Amino acid sequence: MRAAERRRGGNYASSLGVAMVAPSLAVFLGLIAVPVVVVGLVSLSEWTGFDIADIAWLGIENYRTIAGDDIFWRALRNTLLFTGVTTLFLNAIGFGVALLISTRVRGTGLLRAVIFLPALLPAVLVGLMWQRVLDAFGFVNQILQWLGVADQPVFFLGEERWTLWVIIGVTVWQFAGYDMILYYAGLQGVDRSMLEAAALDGARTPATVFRVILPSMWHIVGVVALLNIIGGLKIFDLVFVMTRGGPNRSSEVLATYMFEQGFRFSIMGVASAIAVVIVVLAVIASVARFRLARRLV
Amino acid sequence: MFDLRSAWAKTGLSILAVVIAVTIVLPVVWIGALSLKTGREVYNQKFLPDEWVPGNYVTAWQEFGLGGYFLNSVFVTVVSVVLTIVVALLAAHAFTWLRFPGSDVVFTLLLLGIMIPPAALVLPLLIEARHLGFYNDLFGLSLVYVAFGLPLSILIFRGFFAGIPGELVESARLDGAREWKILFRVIVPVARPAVVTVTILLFLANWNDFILALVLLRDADTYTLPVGISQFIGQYATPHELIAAASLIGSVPVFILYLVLERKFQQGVTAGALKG
Repeated sequence: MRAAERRRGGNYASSLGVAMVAPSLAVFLGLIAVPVVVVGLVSLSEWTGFDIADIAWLGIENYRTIAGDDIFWRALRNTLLFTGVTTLFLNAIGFGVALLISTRVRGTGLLRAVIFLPALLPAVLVGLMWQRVLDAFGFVNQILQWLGVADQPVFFLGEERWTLWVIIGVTVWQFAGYDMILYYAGLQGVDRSMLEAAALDGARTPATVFRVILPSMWHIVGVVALLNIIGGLKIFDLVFVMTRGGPNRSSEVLATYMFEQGFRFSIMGVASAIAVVIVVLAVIASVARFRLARRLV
Repeated sequence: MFDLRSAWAKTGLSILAVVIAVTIVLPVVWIGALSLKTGREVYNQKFLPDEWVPGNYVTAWQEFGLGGYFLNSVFVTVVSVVLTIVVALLAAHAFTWLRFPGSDVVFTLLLLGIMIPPAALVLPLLIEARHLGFYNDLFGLSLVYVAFGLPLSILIFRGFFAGIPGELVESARLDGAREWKILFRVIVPVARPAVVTVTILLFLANWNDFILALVLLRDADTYTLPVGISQFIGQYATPHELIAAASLIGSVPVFILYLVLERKFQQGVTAGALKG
């Protein structure tokens, strides 16, 4: 029986192939492709509430609405600022620490073990911990007062000028180790003979770093930066847990604003339009990442 | 790597390494100290508690109902990781050794999923969940995790399979082995590093997920750990020392796995980021 199947050859193999791919395709179509189409369609509709009977075609009106909405622009600006600043710091610190660890002097083993751990923790728990660390009685205020920098506690999560920067800081704390691990892996690929030649030429360490190491891992820098950008554009958990976008929208980002419009106010059309903006930004960054990553191998 | 002839330079770098490590750990240690304080001591300026209350952990576990959240998280994570891996292995096997007309197109289509952030799809997913009956359902949530985990898993498996010699499959076929047996008895043992990588990536993504669980679960008895613990945020009546204890309890599983599998975690995350 099986021999007969095999003799029929290609046909059997290819229908079996289809059967093996089918579960993946079904789950993908049902839970990613269809939702993408739905979110696009809803963004072109007027729909408040969850009853499908109430949905009405609207055209691009929702996009006009968000284009004229100061809070949307605030959320977009905050998202891009968050993304840009975290990407910068994560890469600088990640690369610096990876270099430090690759010297393998004493203490770097400890550093390598602890710096990566926060990147593995749920953002919700990280946010909860830092809420305590940063509150009026928290560790940071204790240190500031001990140093004499501040005589009154600073309300890091209550003052508009601090909130976004606090969330940027916590994100850098959490994910610096992630970038470090990637750069550390990249450094293992740098040609040792190049480094030795540079050392023989008497190149000082900063020159070695900037003239030899960095140029030879330019693609890795690009991929890591793009990963940070992709992660930054979809920032939600930490903001939702720590500030809910407040106070006064000072830390509002696209995903939290979308969430509020959709789940608190049930304005599905506007929420979907914001979701489409998030998808478009993420896809642009992802395409750039894949193009770069292809050159890595 | 660098020319570190001077002992001073070495010492300096060591000190720098330790200072950074301590800076990273200190806030968590402070949370640990906070979690052991009495309610009255929470607001004082001392780092360590005067009176140590390890019982806070028991109180937090019971009052927050962490046991139930914990089991839900374990269920969702185990089910979604196992399902994703099986389904992705099947697909990657077909994409490598049982190609069919259009299989490259399907492969590319599936990979597009990597680009879509789950947060952007929570609205349509909720609509779908309500109409198809997987709202407020842990298995339904697991399936959503499967969908978002599949693209990267297939990509990693496919990449690994491409490096396995075709003769291995051919000779197994000549021996009369069925295709699924070839996959699970011949290929998977060879592809173990890839399976470990994918397991780690999926575990982290699904165990840590917040927004999908937040949207797709309604009743407290279905909450996963992140959603369950997040319910106590902003309730200022919740004692700080208990929140500290709860957030540390929630971190323990990842922490233990990391201690046991440190290098594997680092390799897995690296592979997922640079190859994906």
